[in-house]
Amino acid sequence: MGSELVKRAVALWEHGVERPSAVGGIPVEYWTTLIDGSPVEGWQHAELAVMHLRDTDLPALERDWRDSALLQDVFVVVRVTEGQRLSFETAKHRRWKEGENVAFVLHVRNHRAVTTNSQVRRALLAISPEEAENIWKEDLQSLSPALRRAFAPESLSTLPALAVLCQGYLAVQDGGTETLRAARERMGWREEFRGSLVDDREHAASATTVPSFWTVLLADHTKDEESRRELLSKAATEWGSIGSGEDLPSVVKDLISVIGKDTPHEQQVAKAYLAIARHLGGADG
Amino acid sequence: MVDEWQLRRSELNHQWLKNEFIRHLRAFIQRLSRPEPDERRLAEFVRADWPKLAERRDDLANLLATAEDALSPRQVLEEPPLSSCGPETRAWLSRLVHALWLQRTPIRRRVEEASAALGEVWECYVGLDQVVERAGPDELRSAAKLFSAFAAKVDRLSRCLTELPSRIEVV
Repeated sequence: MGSELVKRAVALWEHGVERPSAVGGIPVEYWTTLIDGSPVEGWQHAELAVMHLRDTDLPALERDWRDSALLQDVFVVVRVTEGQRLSFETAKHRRWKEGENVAFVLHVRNHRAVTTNSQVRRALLAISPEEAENIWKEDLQSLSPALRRAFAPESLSTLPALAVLCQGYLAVQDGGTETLRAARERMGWREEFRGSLVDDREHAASATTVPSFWTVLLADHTKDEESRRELLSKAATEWGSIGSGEDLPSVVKDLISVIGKDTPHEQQVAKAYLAIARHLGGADG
Repeated sequence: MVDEWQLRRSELNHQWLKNEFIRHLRAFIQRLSRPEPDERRLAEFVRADWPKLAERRDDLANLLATAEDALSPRQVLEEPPLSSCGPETRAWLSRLVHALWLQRTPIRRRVEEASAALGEVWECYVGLDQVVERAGPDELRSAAKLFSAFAAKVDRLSRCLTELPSRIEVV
């Protein structure tokens, strides 16, 4: 924790509640711990406010912010919410200006990143006036990776699609390895599904073992190296956009590396699925 | 589809039920507890806020009726890249991922709980509506406990709506 951050007061506000137990689902204890473990005091000295506001609160806040004891030193209002809200993903950041004083209202667009990643939360609280201005301009490339994650909407398509194909493949396999059982258990498989969900199981089983089952993931279904690299890059970007920013694990890379040129092995698919399920769904479920 | 559903949920639950109706209802109940409540504001709640629950009831019921379809991971097969799977593959994969999702998540129980909560809210509302229609401030004050019980049911409904998933859960 940098000393600069420790000196900074953080104000909290949730629909007029002065001491909420959580703001946008983030426990208040976390924020108070950041200011040297002490309770949030001295609201009038805050430079940064983390707020859970209604859209209808903003005009009044804009009108009053320079006269408000709570907000007079605030240069950035970070607007958070409960859960992922689509309106936040498209809401325009705002800049309030009065004379020399400028304040920004910035909408956190990736709530999951903020609630699951301490680096992202810290980056939010350490935001500088320059960074706030860049976020307001939607110039996310100039930001640190942690801060960028908070203000870039979460966008997943490749990993969920890969997970669905893995589920389809694993559902029609006959193998009984430990990894396959673990993957099936994780995906919610029940033996009574056999036969009831797939009209022609043999057809489905053979369909999943031909390369074309997987090539829908490749751009224009082109089975060349460039398409695989592109898919790998998309998967890696999505992987890094959630959790703590880890690299795409080798078990997922291994699966992608055979798509379009070979039939993935049962173990390969089961391991990749387990990794994706843990990452997208959380370790416990 | 899920985007449209989430926006409807946000508008109904977050923006209206939680941020308007419940807040105004709480303020109304607080006024009823005062020795001399502000009659103008009591009447304003009765005129402007109270009828909105009846107006929104069908929207709430529809939101719950469409929740399972809208939140199902089979939606992933309607969007690129999986929308380009062949029709046969899409058909069995859709059935499969939906069935797996129902195993993994208590979505049906949550929708049932929310529907039951809505039913309780409505039952209580219909009973109180007769009081609201005919009563003056004194009768309203004597029904303060009933309004508090009603507010608790509305809170529960809002919590049930909040607990429904905010994204498609594929795994």
